Amino acid sequence: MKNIKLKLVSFAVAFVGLFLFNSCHGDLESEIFSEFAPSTFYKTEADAEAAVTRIYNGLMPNWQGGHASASTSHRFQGSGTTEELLVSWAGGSTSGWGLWASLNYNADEWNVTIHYENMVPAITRCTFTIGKIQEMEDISEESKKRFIAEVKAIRAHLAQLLYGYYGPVSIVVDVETASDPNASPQARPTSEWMVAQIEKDYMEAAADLPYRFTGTDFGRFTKAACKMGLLKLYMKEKKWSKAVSVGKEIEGMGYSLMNNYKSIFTIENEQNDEILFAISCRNDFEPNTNGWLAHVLPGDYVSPSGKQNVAWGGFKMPWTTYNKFDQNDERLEVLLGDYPIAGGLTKRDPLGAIPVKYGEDPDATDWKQGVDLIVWRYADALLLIAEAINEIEGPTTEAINYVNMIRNRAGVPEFSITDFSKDSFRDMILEERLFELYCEGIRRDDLIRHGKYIQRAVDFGSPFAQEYKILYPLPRRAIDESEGLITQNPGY
Amino acid sequence: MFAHFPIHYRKFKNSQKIFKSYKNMKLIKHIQIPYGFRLNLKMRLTITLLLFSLLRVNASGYSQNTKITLDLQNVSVFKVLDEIQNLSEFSVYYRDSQIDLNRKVSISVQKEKIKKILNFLFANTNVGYQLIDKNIILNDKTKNKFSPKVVPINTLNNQQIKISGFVKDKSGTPLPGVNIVKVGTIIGTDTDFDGKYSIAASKGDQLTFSYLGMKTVTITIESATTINITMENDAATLDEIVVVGYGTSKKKDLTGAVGSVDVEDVSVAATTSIDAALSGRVSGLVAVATSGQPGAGASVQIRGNASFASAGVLYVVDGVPINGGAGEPGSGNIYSGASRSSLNFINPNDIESIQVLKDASSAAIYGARAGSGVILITTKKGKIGKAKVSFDQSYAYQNPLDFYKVHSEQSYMINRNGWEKERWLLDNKIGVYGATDPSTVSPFVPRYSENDIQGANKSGSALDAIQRNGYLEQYNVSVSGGDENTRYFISGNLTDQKGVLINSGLDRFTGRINFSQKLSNKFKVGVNLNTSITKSENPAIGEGRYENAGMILSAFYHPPTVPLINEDGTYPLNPEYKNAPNPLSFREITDGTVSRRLLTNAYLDYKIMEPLTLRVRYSYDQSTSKRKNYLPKTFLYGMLSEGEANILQNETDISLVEYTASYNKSFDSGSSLSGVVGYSYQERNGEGFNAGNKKFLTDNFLYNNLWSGTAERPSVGSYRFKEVWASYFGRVTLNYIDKYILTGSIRRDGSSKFAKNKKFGLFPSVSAAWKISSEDFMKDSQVFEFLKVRANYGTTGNSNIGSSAFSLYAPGGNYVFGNNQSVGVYLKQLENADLTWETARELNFGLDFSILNGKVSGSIDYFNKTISDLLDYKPLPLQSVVSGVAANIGKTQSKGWELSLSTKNIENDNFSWKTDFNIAHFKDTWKERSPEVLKVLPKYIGEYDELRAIYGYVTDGVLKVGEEVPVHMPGLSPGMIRAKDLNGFDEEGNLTGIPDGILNSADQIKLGNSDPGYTFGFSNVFKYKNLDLNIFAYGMLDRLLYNNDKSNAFGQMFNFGWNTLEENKDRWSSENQSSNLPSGLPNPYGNFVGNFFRENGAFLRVKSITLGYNLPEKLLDGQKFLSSARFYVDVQNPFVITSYSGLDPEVSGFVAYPPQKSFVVGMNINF
Repeated sequence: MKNIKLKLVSFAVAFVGLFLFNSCHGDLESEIFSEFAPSTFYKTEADAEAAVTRIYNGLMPNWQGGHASASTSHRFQGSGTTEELLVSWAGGSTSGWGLWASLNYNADEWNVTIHYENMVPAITRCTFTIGKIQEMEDISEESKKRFIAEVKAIRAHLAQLLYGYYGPVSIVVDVETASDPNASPQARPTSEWMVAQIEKDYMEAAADLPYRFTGTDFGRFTKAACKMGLLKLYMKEKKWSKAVSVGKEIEGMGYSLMNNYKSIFTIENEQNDEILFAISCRNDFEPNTNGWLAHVLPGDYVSPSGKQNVAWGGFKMPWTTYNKFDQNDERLEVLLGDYPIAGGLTKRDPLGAIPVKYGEDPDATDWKQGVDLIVWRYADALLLIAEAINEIEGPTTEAINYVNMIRNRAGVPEFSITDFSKDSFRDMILEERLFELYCEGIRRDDLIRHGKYIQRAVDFGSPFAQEYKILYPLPRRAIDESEGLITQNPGY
Repeated sequence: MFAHFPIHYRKFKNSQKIFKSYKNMKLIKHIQIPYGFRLNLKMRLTITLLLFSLLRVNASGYSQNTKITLDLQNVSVFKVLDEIQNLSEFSVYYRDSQIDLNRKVSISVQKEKIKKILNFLFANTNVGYQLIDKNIILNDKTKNKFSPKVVPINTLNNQQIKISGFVKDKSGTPLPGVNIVKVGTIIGTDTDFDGKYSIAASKGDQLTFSYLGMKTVTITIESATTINITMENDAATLDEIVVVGYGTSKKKDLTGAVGSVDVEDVSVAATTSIDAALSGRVSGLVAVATSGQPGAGASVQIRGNASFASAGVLYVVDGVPINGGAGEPGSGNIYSGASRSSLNFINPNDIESIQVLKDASSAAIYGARAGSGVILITTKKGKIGKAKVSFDQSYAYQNPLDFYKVHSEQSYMINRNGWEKERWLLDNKIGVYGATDPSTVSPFVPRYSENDIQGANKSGSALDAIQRNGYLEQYNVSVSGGDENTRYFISGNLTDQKGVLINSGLDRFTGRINFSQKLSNKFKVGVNLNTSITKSENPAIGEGRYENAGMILSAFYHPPTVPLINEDGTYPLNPEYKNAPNPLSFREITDGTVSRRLLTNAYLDYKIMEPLTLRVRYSYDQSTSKRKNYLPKTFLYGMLSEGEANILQNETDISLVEYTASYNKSFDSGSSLSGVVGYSYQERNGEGFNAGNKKFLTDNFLYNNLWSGTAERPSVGSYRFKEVWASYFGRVTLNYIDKYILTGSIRRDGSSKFAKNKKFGLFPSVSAAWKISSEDFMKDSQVFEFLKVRANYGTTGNSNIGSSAFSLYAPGGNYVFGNNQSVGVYLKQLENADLTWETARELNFGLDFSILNGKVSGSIDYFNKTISDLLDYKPLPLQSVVSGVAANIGKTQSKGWELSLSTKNIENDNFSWKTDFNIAHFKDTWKERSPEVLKVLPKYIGEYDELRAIYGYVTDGVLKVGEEVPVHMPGLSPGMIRAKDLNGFDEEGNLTGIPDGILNSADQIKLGNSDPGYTFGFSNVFKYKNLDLNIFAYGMLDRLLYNNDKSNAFGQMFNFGWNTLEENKDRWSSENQSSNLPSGLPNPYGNFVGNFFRENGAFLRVKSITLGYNLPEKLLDGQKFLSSARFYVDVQNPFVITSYSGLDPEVSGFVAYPPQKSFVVGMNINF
């Protein structure tokens, strides 16, 4: 016993002694192990590239928003506020998914104000990054130019989306303001300023970007994408001849229609010739991932491939819309009236058809699929050119040819120029755009351009459809923090 | 009254050291203090008395023969008596309140007998004396008459018999130095080293046994000559020593608001960590058990929580802050579901005492980390005496207290048919919903036929499949003991818990060594070592919904029409929603966490001179937590990913070096001065690593061969951080003549988080107490035995904001180009060079009292705490590159009061009943918000509202048929909840105060507060002979709760065929129009009807009822093996009284792990 005690004592003494000599006293300096101090960043070309990568993230801030598929995405809202989509989940007291078809939104609805909250700062980040890259000394002028061009293109793209949702909004395009966290909010600009700013950025970006990026650079902004942005801008502003000329520029950039409609949206045909701009996706990454299938497949859907997909069963195309399609339209191959269920049977959902659109990713292990999400494609451009030509000079052969290129590919009868007046051509093209571009998030812009956005909701029976809902409300916070300098959109 | 007379005497001998509280005996005696000042006072007294009794020799006639020489001029009587003790073997006893020892005298005698000296000394005073052996007993002649029976001890006369026996504490440890006095006399003795005593007494005499911190026992002599006594702790005693930061204090000398938990009364047989047992134990401490999961802790708050950056309560175990150990890693897969207490590594059975430093003046010595209060945990130490072995075993049988009631198969079919019919009516606008002629639309076809319904099960649900009966068993062994130089306490604990839901459980081993060794008169070393290994089985639960639904929600959702398992052993899914796994299939998952923690704490004391001791302490705290899990192919998400394995690990090392110098000096007058100064340096290093893979060839490898997975991009991650603290602190306490006590403390803390000139914060405090009962005018009070008022002011801090206040670029916001991931880098945070400490300033007034001879005692406190420079992220304008910047954003206030009462309702030989009750109230409100915050504050929020106010729309019941649809809710159908239009916005976005016919956020109002208005605890202990019964309850009042589960059940009724709560069978429908519950049909105003499911969250929980039986002394007599044995049965959590209709008023959130009811049998045996 005594021995043990002695040992314990010596242990204790040794213990204390050891600790006394081991103690160290720092000077309370923070040590950073996995981040950059400001003095260590924006030095190398890799730094600039990483900064630009982060700017792209503004296009896909999370799996729900940006160009993704969920409730805050441009894709969903661009379709959900139109005749293209109804949501099965619109039941119950969570009105979130139920508000779209009836335009039941106000300034408290974060699903509509979030674009402002995401994209206004994203634009400032673009400007900030442009400033930082401009100051860099150790990278080549060529790289600098390209990086800045990409950032400007993204800035234009985000500004255009904002403009579409809210009308002109105050954005920071001045480097000094962007670098000042205490800069106060500015009043909203005019539409003219906003449009000019977008146009300028797209044009400057287009000048320094290649027609096309492929391989490991696919997904970056290109000259073609910039021109497509401009085409969209001119269409919105009804600057028809500018639209036609920029559209024709795109035509000369080597893009073409795929032979088969379904194959545009498959994993085998990623980076195909029809895609003008896309979000590259992976099945093991967020936010760049494709969740469309999970949103549309019904729970009891049984894939012909045998693969079990995650199926949330949310989005359906209402039957009244579906029924407008020609029954032989090949585009219905990915818009299922009857969908396969167990036992080799098929089923028809009372709410609507299943807009499958995207092909399966055989390697996907959950809702995330790797098929690239398409933002803009060549078919859209062709139909816009046709529309613009009609607006300038009525239905011409040239215009009808663009439409027939699309219809041919879909296996539906061609139209003849004699079938249309200027007005009926306009209506036809709006309809054709539905058949061709359904559920790509484009419909909202189309309906607004054609003046049919609100009427569609009235026809749907919505008690909330009023003219002012063409624009979304700004978040209350934007008004509050500017102390009234920034004004709310009328009606809200 | 007379029966208590002897213990009011104080013993007075050589004056080097004064112990003012041996029960109420005063003893002055010269002894060599064997250990440093930090020694538990109880222990010191034990030693003192021990030495005293050893030194005492039988010296009959001593007083007659001894002669003393004195020459003292103008000194106190105290000094004279002291000198007499120094020069002779006399001991002086006196009754505290009756003798004026401060009177100045001069005395000069040559070899005079003691009698003469005393006669001179007390001539013309009220002081009388008696001499017995070498004892001088002083008292007030006018008040107390000595019993004529006074006879010298050990003088046995004919009528007397020799009584002997053994005195021990409840756990069987012998108590040396227990004072035994014959009632009505000053005849007495002490127990020896082995707790033995012998005394002469006559039949009918009464003996009192008294010992510091123990309840005094009085017995009457009958025929037995052997009387063994078991003494019990007297927790309510004001002489209790409590641990305060960097020192100890007597409870009655406390100047701050310090709550103590009576650990003895806390049943830990059904818990794994002490925090879960703290609810209701201390006024002002709110511990809410938010999950019933094995190993889950409680969310602990002291006096509210008016800070956003709050790091939570600081736990200090044996002087070492233990916050910041390695936390439970995430799962790596879609499930979270591991709620663990950070105190799991401490065996609750090892805990000796718990003190809660509630106010800022008490906590200020812990400065910057004490902003949310401090809980000091002291573990058991060895006591002088023979080795004591204690063995505890308990077995708790557990089942869920309550679980969700969802539809049975039959009820599901009936209700789903009914709901779908109603939806068909609504969609087609038929009947109450519109004028459509039903014959014009496709007819409604019920999903289930009458035959289906008749053949369906009428009871049971998938929730039954994931429940089981659980248990928690504990084995606890400790060995403790020591002598004058060495003390040791060694313990081991094995705990095994099987959770009440499948795949949940906990296995734990903890070991502890507390060891101290005196090396010389100057040096002492000590080591405390706590090791623990906890293995937990993690059920896949959590608050995820839809495809992320965990086990509980999946079972909740599972349609009763779908079997739980197929004949081939596969698990069928809900055909309408194949994204949620089959609930039973969760049992296929393997998911476990192993947490290890080794906390070593060593110190060296160097006593420079009598009052001054230096201590150096070093502690090293290593913790790791490693989680490994595998989703097999038999489980839905394992099937989709072809097997998914993850290993995740967190590691934290915390080292602490502390130097303290303590000073403790007592003065003759009863005054004392004590103080401590110190320096502490703490470094916390953490790192983590995780890896995962998918697509495994086989399920057999689990996570043991990650390499064999073939996922395209296996997951991998790592991190590292470091935090540094440097602190200087000090405290001075001046006790002036035991009436006025003044304490001041200060701490200077430095943190690496802040910018250069903001690194250090200063946290002073000052507090004062006035012991009114020590004043002359109160001395004879028949009511107040003790009365003290306290006033204190203190400051504490908080720096818990992110990693630092500097600008940083961080990797993140990655993006995919081609098919490759590119790393993004972004400006993550901006520097705020002005960022500084959050500072809490608290004013506290308190009153401690003990009345009616100690029958009723308690404390009342009022506090007012302001937290300024609140740390949070200040929003920058929306356009900014970074959304916010760490900033000091305002000021909050917590105000409240606390009351605790202990009463001894009945106390006699066979039966006793004591009650503890506490109640507290607090309110956390805003005092100031920064202009940036104020600017963007939603208009319906008041600038000075409560911190956790709940805002919402005012609902107005369900719209009935025939009632007008409100103009502000066009499109509302019968059966849907109405909300009121109360307000409107003007063009600038400001409230107009006038209803505007539009339902929007202007119409929200403050509905209430989620903080409880009142929290209370109520404990009763009954003792009858060898039986004891302990009933403990606690609760909360005035509290608003949101019933998420119910809201969800009505909001998503039968979506995807999901099952829902059975109670929605009473919903409104066209066939049940009198119902006030919503129909659950699609409501265009879903966002506006939130408060419909808010409920009163008040409750009273009976937490435990324990019935114990101690083996009677008689059975234990005559054998040397067993010293005590106790057996008990305990019901934990038998019931809750509440109007809240959800699962449990404490368990938060959505689909929670249910709390359990436990039936415990246990025993405690001491050898």
